[in-house]
Amino acid sequence: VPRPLLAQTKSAADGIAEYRKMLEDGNPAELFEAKGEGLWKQTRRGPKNASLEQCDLGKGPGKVKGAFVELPRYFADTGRVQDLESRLLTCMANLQGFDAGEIAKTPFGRGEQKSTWKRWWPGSPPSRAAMRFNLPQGMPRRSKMYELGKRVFFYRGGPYDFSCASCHGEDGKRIRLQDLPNLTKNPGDGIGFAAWPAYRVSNGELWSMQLRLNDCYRQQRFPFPGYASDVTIALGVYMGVNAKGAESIAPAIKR
Amino acid sequence: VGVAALRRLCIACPAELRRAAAAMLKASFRDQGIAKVDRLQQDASNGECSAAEGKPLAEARAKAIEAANLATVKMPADGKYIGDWQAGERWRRTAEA
Repeated sequence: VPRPLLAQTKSAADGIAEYRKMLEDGNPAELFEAKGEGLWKQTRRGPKNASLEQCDLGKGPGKVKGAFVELPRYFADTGRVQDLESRLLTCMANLQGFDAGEIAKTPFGRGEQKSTWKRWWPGSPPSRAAMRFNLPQGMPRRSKMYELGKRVFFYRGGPYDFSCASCHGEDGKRIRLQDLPNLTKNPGDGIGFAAWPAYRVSNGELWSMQLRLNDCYRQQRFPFPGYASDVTIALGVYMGVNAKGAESIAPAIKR
Repeated sequence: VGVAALRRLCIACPAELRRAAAAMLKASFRDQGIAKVDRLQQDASNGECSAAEGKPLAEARAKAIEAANLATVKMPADGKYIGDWQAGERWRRTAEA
């Protein structure tokens, strides 16, 4: 009996899911993880010739397990709400003597900036046990950051009147073949905020959340959001709090 | 009671959030190529639509905003809707550089 041509009913999203499944055992992001672990532990780095191992990502110096899924959070020593990358800059400045301001101004992927956003290993769950987002909330400063993130998310501007919500405010939207998560709520395990950092097949690079947001703003035709600037962190709080309970699949693999 | 004291008392009040969001946007963005920070300045329509935060505006208001903005659209006077793409490409490459 001839079989019907089932392939025609397969959507582009199915195809990408299948492709991701095939790559799961060999996600090139693992190479970046190994590199990040090396950078984290390397004992003689920066003007102070020190490692990052005593960096406090919110659970105490050197305690990295599970820290990633609670970021961004408020840090008393800096008096700021910080995401992973902003916090790494703080640690690189305090522990290793780097100039955080200079690194933040360096274009993506160059010099010490390159190692900053690849130094994401601390968030990587060593055991691969499920890690679910659970940002600490309730303190006034943090809930204010959430409210500010929400305002930024819905802020329409630029020559085409875009806001983040133009693409990510409703279910079932796409850009070409890519499904766009609705980020005004929890979009589910491993989707949206829970899918980054991720390895981008299209350019062979690991993309951090900062780079993801930066490119979203470029597509919105907005001016340039500063690396680890408060707008990017507020958006992280908004997405992270909305994603409460979602499983992080970082490092994910993306188109 | 001073303004600073009120702010401390009420860090999530709408007025304070408006002020803090404006300050945050101003501090976070910089010019990049043709995309200058003045692109963050909202006209009244964008301001109203942003403030709605995804909720629908009252129908009469939505229609009024739509009509006001459609009135600003200038159609090509000569009726030609497709221009010289090669000139467009040259412009794009210059703008990008």
